[in-house]
Amino acid sequence: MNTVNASSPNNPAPPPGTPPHAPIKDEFIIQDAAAWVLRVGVILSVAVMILGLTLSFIHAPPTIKEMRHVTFNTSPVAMYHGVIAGNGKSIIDLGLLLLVLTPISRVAVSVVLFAVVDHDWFYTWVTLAVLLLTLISLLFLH
Amino acid sequence: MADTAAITWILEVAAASFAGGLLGSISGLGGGIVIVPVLTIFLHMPIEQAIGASIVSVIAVSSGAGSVYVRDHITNVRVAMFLELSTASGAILGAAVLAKFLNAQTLSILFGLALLLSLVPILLNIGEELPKNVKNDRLANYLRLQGSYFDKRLGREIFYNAANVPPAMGVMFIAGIMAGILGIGAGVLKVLAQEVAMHLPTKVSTATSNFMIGVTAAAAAGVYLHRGLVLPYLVVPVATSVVVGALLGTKIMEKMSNAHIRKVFAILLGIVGMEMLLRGCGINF
Repeated sequence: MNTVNASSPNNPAPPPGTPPHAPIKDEFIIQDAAAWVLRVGVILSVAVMILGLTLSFIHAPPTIKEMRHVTFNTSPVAMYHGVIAGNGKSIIDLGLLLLVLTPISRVAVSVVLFAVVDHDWFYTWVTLAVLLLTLISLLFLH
Repeated sequence: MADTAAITWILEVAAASFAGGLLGSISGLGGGIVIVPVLTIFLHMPIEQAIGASIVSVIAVSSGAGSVYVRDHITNVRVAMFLELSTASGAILGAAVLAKFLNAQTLSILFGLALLLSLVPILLNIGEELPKNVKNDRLANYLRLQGSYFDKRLGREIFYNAANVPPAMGVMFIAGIMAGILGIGAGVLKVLAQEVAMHLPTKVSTATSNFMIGVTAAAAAGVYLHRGLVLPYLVVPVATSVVVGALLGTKIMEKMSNAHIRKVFAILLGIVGMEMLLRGCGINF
């Protein structure tokens, strides 16, 4: 009655090759949160871009020449004012920025989860270093 | 009234991007492999702007397909993070220091030759479904790089180990330098490092590379955004349809056999290798 069988349905024996210390549950939390960040980021940024394109075509349809020459505006102030004014092109720029930030947010969330959920300090530092190097490249290398 | 040429242009870009997303998510290479040639050859765009669009497409494929691969636990997050450390440092070294000393054309030729040579080990194992007798090396043990995933094709959980971590790190460092200088091409080396050096199952290599290329591309995006090489009106159809293609690609990839995915990768590897070789000789397409 009180014999604990290692291969009972509630406690199946791990197949050969299973790492003895695999933190399966924590690993799943980290992966599910990461999948969620990616999904929300992609849906949001694509939706914002399509909204911007639609507004552009409603207000002042761009010609093919404009579409092939208008570039991304890197000024956050200009983007802010454009978005507030409902300018289609500025809204596309915002969507583009959200898209670029999506993989970076996913790394940022992984840093927190490795630390808080997994208490895995080695990978917390590795992921933090990846995050910092990515931000340095994005912001300072032109 | 919107002019029809503009609408046609958007639809053409969208069609090419859909194909790019599909192939990119199955192979782990991102969408540029289709998008760059179509934009330059058929739509007559400058190569820099085509690469700018390709970088955005890589981020979109990586995030769209990544949301599925990560949820289905095919991506190995530890491998991704540890190897991305090498790539990210290589990219900064490449863009900040080496770009001044290295000639982009010579580099393209060397890169093209290296890719064509790496077809050899891929072709030798082309029919192999899963790598056999792979043991963790010392570093892989310390880093806990082993893992498992549920293979929908084989209908069972696949447990795997990771060999040769130091050479894989070297390849990833070079991948970063390439990405930093050429703005393109890191995806191929990412799959090669995991597939050929570490002997990970093909699906794990693909999904893990798919995750890393998004981070590398986001880092590279800064340069292209600042130099005015990203066209927002071009990016909307690219990002939108590349995501749709990528999501469809994940459904196909998970049901394919590892051997078939490796064949797709080998073909694309040959194409990218030739493309880099020709670009190095001054022929852009």
